[in-house]
Amino acid sequence: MDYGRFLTEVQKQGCFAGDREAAAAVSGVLMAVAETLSQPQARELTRSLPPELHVFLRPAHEEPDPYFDAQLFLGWVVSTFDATGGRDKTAGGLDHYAHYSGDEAIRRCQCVFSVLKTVLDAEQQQTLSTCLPEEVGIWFQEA
Amino acid sequence: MVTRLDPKVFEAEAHNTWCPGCGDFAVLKALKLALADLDIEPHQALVVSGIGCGSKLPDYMTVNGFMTIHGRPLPVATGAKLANPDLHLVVVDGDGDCYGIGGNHFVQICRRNPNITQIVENNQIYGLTKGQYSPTSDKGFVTTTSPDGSIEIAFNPIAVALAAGATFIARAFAGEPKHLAQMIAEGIRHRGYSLIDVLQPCVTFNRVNTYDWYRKRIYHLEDESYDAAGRDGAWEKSHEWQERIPLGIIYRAEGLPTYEDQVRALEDGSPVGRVAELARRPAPGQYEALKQQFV
Repeated sequence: MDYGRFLTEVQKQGCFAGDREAAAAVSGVLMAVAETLSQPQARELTRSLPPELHVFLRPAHEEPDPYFDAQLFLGWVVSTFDATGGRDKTAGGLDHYAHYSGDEAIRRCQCVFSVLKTVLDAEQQQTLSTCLPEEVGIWFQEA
Repeated sequence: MVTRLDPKVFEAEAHNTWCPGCGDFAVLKALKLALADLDIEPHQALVVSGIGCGSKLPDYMTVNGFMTIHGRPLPVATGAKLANPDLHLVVVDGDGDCYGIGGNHFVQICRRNPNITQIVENNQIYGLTKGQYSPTSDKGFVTTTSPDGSIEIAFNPIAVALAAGATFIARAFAGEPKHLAQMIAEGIRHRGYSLIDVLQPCVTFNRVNTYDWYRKRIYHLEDESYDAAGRDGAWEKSHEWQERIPLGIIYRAEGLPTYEDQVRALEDGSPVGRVAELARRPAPGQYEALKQQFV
């Protein structure tokens, strides 16, 4: 699958208005994935990915941080949203953006994961699933 | 990190209101890991915080906790330390609380050197109040209160701490909880005041200093032949920002007396210790007198 097709599939899955938003989702999820992989594991995954996406897995570490968890994973994804929290006029401390950003981030993870699963073989999927933080591994399997 | 105590003993049931993906989650996890690694049980530690997103932390763990007013956790922690020097004191607050509102206390604690560890969750923005620029926001940073970009140069906590006489200064990144936990543990082990400045992305209001932004810039001093005992080297490292940001122990001076070491009133034991001793071994006649009150 080429890069354009990959983005189109993510855009369709996520009902994103344009490919820019799809590209942001892909970059956020893949950069988070890179945090969970060792360099050899990242290299192995890139074999099946369009070349334009390799750059996101390149920062993988010699040894991933064993305490990198689902919250940190979400942090990388939320950081690529094309939006920020509301101005200080919102009432009562509840920021509507922040309140739903976690659900939206999980949805974006699953959109990207579902397309990712179509390009990875069974062994690669298994490797990725076991490297991800436990909760994220469940999102991957359910995608 | 192989911990001695199970970090689960610090778990609490309070509902967490941090934004999903907030770097504060990593700080919370790392603090639990560090305390567990040092075999410090919940009743042996006191976590003091101020006001701000990160200052909610004591609510989210089972430990003695004290949430003070804005900018004041350091004097409260100093008082607690003097009352009970055996307690492990950890202060947790944000860049606004420590470097802004509590800025004076920050300078004073560096030169006093009490045996207190301070973890500053530095997200370069006021998150709880929804995104105003903070003391550590970089010059030109656009927020609701700096629509044309912040005019001031950013506060440099590492350089200020060094200049004010801090004896342990480290920097860590919330995106690396293992290293962060190691830095916190090193800070707690240090006899004297220890500052851990944590680069902690605010995923809701700060779209500049993201996990990715830090990841591209950070490097580990442990990977270089860097001597944390030298003030000149530390001064140089304290000014590295933007292009390369050093993580790790930037400065450490060992063997210096702590504040409480030099307080003469503590020579006969701590106030809490004296009360406990009295309760355990009352003076002759004191126990009988006490008993008579209930006969």
